[in-house]
Amino acid sequence: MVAVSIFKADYHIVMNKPVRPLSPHLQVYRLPLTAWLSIIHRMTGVLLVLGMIAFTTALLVLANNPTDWQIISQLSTFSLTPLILLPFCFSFWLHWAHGLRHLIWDTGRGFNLKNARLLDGLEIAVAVLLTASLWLVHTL
Amino acid sequence: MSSSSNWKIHDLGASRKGLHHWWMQRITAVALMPLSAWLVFSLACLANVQYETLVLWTSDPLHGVLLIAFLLAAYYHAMLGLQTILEDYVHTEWLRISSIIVSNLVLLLLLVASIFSVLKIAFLH
Repeated sequence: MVAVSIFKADYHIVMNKPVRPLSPHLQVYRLPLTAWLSIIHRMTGVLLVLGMIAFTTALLVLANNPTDWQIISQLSTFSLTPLILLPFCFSFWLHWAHGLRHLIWDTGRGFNLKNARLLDGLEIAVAVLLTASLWLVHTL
Repeated sequence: MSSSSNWKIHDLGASRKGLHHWWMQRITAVALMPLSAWLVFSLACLANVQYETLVLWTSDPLHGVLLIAFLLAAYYHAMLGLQTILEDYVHTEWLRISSIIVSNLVLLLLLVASIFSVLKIAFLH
């Protein structure tokens, strides 16, 4: 009986440190869509900063080096360009739509579960529609 | 959230600028809603035009003013956003403070370069 109790005591010690029970972490907790959209908002924000750097580069070339503009304009004929531009546009509209939701939240509205889920679907739908209409305008 | 609870933020934070940061992020966001939508739709229309048309479009006073307004709001918004991310994820104090300073200075430099370019196009054409 004594030996068993010693074994039980050892069981809770790994590498001379006691193993304490841990509360559930992010990896075992299924995040709701609202939480995912919040994380994505930060990621798209960083992506948009990269877009701003590209935009400023284009403006600098347009203003200071008309001959080099040819190189930038040739990028639009590149077959891989839509593969980068389309997700970028979707990221922009997602950030835009989620930003609009934050402004709605700032008025104190839309915090209950039902409205939060409604806004989740709404902002994704808005982002899809605006990306599609942007692409339509571009191809016209 | 009541307005009185917002005002309490005023005295919080290392630089006591918590409310100003929050407020400016919202003001720039409100400005960027129409400005960024206008810009991306304009760029979508301008995607296949020649150099001369693009320069002419940019040198139009209305486009130039809206473009500079967009650039000011977007870079200010980016400065506040990146600072928030660095504050949240960089835990070493000296690294956090120096990365915030570097990110703000780089974005400020990009803003000045962008406005300079728009003005140069506007006044030379």
